[in-house]
Amino acid sequence: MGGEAFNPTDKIERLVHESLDGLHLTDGLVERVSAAIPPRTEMQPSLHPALRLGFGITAAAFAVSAWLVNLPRIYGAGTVASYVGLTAIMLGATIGSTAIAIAIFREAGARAFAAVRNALSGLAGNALVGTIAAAALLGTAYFLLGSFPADQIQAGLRAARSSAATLLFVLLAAAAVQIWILARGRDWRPALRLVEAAGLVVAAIACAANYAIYIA
Amino acid sequence: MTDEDARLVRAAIEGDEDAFKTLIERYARMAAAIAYSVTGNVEASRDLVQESFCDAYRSLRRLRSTVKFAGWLASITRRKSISWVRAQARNKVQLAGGHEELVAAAGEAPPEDAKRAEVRARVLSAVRGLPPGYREVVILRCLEGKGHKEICEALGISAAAVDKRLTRAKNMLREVLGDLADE
Repeated sequence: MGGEAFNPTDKIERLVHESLDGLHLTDGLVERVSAAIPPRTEMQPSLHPALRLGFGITAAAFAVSAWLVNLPRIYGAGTVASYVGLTAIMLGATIGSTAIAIAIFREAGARAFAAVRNALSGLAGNALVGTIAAAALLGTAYFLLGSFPADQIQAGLRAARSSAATLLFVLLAAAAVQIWILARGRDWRPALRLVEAAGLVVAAIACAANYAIYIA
Repeated sequence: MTDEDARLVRAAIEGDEDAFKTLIERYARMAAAIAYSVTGNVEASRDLVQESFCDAYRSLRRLRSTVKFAGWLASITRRKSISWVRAQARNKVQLAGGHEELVAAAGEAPPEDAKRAEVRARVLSAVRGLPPGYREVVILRCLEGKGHKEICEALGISAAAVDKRLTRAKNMLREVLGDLADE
């Protein structure tokens, strides 16, 4: 009983099949549903990826500039220059690896571009969430202490520096793998989200450990 | 099938409406089977299938695993159908499932002899009397001719569970429809 497919020689199955068929439940259904599908413009997500990207870049730019203006006071001009250089190298590496990914999968055309767009959008989303979390932490500190704890923030920024670099590389690696997998027509995004989440946890632990060392 | 579904879902996300129409052709009957198994109402089921596909299209980007489109669509349809049933209950509208309604539904079909209409009403009434999990499996199999693998994907249960539910459901139907099954 219960073979692999519908069995018309089974009396019960045939009776049920004929009875259901007589309801005309699916007559013209495909045409009806196809006609009801909303136009493309109505299926955009509540926050367009380009907008998310814009928010992410803006937030990241604010964070970076806030970081940079403090650096001369903390580290001196020479160190600042080296960090600016490092940032430029990392940006170049990101743009370069994206270009390589597009070049490698250019036969995949729009699919590869969509994958790149999704990856960048994901990165921007992470940056946005991180910035909001940092703002919330600062707000909480201000509320609790009555003023911004400048020394603590500086220590935190120093602690976050190495952790942020680690996190950025984990996210970039996840994005690169995501581009590669999506362009190949596979879908392992859940696994990649796990990698991203693991990266965040590792970065958070590293940040907390560094922070503890700096304030000790 | 699921690799092909994944390809179609990705194409639909990128704006290929024909890809989504292919998914509709592939899964409209499955969705209808699920909606009908919950509501027992033909017109409501057709409306719910339409709404489910529209919702799925709008939130296609949120589908975490593109290979699981069938199961995702099935859960949307089931959720909507359950909501519909609850709304009907709140409004104190008599749910379909009574013998008279089934006869009326059968009456919408092209003219046929009274005996056949009566048999259909009895069979549908017996199907409506099955526990929900069993009813869903029976309708998916008999309306759509689905094999175990496709039913597993749609319902998110194991092949063994499908086989068990189907066997028990058919035994229950055989008990209720004994004379018809023996004819």
